Amino acid sequence: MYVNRIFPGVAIPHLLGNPKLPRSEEKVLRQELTERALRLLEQAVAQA
Amino acid sequence: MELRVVHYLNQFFAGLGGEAEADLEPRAVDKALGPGETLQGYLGTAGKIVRTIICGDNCFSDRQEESLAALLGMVREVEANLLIAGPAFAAGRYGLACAHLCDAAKRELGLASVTGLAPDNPAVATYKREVLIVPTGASAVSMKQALARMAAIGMKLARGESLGPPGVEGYLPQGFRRNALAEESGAKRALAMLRAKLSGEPFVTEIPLPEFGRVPPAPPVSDLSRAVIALFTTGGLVPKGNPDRLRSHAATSYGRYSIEGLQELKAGEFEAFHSGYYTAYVNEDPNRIVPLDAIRSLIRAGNLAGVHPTLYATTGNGTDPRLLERMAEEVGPELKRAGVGGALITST
Repeated sequence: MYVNRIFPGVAIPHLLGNPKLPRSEEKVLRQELTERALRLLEQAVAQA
Repeated sequence: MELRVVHYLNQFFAGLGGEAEADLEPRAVDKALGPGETLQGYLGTAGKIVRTIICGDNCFSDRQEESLAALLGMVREVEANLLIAGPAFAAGRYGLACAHLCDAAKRELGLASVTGLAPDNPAVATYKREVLIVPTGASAVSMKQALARMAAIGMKLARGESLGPPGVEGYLPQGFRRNALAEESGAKRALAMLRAKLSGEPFVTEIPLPEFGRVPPAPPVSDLSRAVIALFTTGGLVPKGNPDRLRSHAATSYGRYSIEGLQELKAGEFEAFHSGYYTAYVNEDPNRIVPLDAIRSLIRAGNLAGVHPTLYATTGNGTDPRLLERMAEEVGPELKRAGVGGALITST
């Protein structure tokens, strides 16, 4: 079941980050993912 | 061999007084008291209540460690084979004391123990896995049936006999699965169940599924740039040293940690306590599980109005959904009062 308020992260042990990236790039990645996750709050819940 | 039984009661059931005496300190009387007299009847000649131990409800809950140590000492002194606590029915403090004492007696003294509680007593959710609990009614009206079962189950435990399934013996399921030999194969049993189900006849499943219920989804946040959001995680993130002793699996509690004024979560200040994933990456940079640095950037950029000053954290593996329900019930109103519009829950 897919619910549009569940946002997939990078990986279980580093959900919002990637230890393989340099710290500065990782921060940019985290900010993008966090914002995309939060944007889901702006839409109504639908289930498919 | 006659079993040596210790019976635990609170001040009220021991006949020492009501709420005014709830500070009563642990004490022992070397005979059956109150409900213990009925219990002795059910034990018959197979067991003897050699001691009743008593503690006031407030005393136990306010000074838990020293009360527990004193009570366990009193149990040890008489070389008991079995501890029977209560029953406490729906009573909150008394129920917790009974369950906690049974758990400690089993853990620290290796003693067989049993208590009786109403299924909705808060102690049940906390201790049902560790403690043998006979379900009772909400009040002492159900005293006799409860004592009869507690006696029967307690004697089996003390003799090291194995118990049958919860529904047969009359105790609350502890979530264990034990191997047993059935007369018919799984295929035949499954088909029999299916046939019963299709023809509308009653049947008993062998694997009851948990019921999670349904929660109506919250309406959307109309504009993120005007919303304050709260941060939650089930990834077991706690301040270094785990001050609240959150369990790393099957959590029974959650923590509230201040993130007020913090620009990010620093390694060495926060760490993950979670037995279900490899936590080194999170310990190296806790923002990987609770992205506070990103949240602060979004606020600075004007894309988000603010973040709630408390982080709520628990461990999500093997966690009883009832803990999460309680968490929602306790935290929800707090967030509403604080004007929080949405939440980011990071899960592993």
